[in-house]
Amino acid sequence: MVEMQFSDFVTEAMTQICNQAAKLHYRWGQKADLVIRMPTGAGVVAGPFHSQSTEAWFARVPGLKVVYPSNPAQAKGLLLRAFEDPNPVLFFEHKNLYRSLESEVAPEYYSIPLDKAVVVHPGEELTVIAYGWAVHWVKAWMLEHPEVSIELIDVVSLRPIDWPSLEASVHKTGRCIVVQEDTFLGSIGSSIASELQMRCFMSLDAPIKVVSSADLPIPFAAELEQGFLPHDRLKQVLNEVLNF
Amino acid sequence: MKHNPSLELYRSLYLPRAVEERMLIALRQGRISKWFSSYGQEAVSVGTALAMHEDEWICTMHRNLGVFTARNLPLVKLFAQFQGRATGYTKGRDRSFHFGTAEHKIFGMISHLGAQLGVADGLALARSLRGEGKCVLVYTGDGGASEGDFHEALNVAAVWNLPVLIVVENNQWGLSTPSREQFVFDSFAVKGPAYGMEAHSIDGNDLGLVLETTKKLTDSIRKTPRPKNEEASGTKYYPEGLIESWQSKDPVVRYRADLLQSGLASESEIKALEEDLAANVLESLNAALEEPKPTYNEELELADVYAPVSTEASHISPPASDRKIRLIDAIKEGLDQAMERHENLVLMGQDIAEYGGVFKATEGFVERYGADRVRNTPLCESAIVGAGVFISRGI
Repeated sequence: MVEMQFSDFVTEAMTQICNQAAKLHYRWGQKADLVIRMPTGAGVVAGPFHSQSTEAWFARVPGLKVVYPSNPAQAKGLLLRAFEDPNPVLFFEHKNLYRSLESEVAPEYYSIPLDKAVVVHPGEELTVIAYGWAVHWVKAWMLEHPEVSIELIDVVSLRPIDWPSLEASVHKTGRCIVVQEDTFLGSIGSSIASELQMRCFMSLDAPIKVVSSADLPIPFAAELEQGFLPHDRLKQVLNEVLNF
Repeated sequence: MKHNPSLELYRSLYLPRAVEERMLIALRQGRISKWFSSYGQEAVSVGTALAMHEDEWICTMHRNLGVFTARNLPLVKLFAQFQGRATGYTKGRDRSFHFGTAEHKIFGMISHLGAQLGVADGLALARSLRGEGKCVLVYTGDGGASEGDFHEALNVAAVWNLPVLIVVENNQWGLSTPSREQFVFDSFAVKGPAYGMEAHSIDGNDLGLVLETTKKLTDSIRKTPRPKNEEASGTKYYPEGLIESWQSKDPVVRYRADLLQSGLASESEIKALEEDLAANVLESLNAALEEPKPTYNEELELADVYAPVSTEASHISPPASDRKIRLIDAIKEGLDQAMERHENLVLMGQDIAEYGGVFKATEGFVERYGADRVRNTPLCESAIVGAGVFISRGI
């Protein structure tokens, strides 16, 4: 296992991850049995090189597995599963959740599948798809708006993506928003939205929208970082899609 | 260092030469489309490979045909690989020397010329942790040594006393760019000491010298694990472009002359051997060109991207519990239980040992699992991830 001190530093090792480890099994049948832990994300006032969301850089590389838990119980089971898996796994941990979030975690050894999305909360009116810290932004909004029936799905596995689970939910609700901390272009959120638009077009009552951070390097000062993150846009887009 | 030439060693040296000769003809004939030649560099590959034990890994580059022949890869399969046939080592998925074979303990290159060095560190670390007294051999060239990976991997090898021999093949050219446009020092032997390792510079065209020197260095590494740096200078050249004065340096010509002079083999014996090898090479190439080309079946291609996972997860979702802990504690507990379960698991990262990592995910681990398995690393992300890529095979 390799711990990246901050996931931002991973740029130094892109060749080994994306060209060596990712392609090894396809090329000549060998296992690159490696887990890379990636402390990641913003909200900790750490500036452009300690705050980035780097998951999309890897999620598009065949041969890698990319997981991004949003809570402690999930994190433990996925991490142990990553060590059972003989493939290169990039394991994202949100730094801002390390000490701010508690949940019930069984003390014994357990592992859970790396490739499954999770329905965090079932609902009927709107599917909201998120991962990592963004799951908690949506939860907070839902607490404030118990009158709206939202189906919240945590993607968990960013490669492979559990398309059937996402698709089934959007067919059911007919409306969908994807929420992410990353910026838009070439992101997980934009990929999910475009795929679901194609898969679910005939079921949709509104265009699928993606809520992303501003198209900027992540600024340091708390006032600027708050502006960069999409909290205000999230509220606005939820209203737009629900009232479309 | 005394070396007695032998017909058997000449056989090992001449086989890659016979392949070179045939491939250059086949290239002109249009029978093959591309050939990465190591004509003139055979002595480095053959001499170093033969100094290694059969169960020791060698990390090769594209000028190391002699390693593949010295490790007795079947020629038809080797040539099928070169020609992108379905029966080659990569089933047509990667070109030329971009492959390895676990059976022959060869870890093959990718196009990025420094990337082998970190992988070699990982294999060497695995062997060193097992205390097996084994060595790993990795090549790079005077071109590849300009990459950052060279610096990182040599540094990690030195800091961790890894049993790895790093051979720099200095053929004076990085593809078309001469040395003077790539670096301004005289010899790669200055590099090793800068990282705290021993370095030797030898004439890479002298098979006997390469073999004996490499034997001596690898024996010493096996006894006391630590890295060493060997520069084998040579010349890269193609028969047509051969400058006359270089002919005297040709490792095959030189070894042949020594062998004749020693009286251990006659001209007719040597000639017969050469003809026999050349005929075998031609026959193997003809057979390889008859091998099937790959056909595109997307399902089969997709099925090989990932290694199959042999076990099921223990649970579909996390089991219930009433104990509440934080995310960082869950990560730490997961790591702890993984360390318990997988005895070969090694953790590597910046400040993760005594300091416990900047987020304290591994606090107390070094006391519990020891410094071999919980390793602080230098700021060498590429070499460290490279070391992790194949470490499980070394263990």
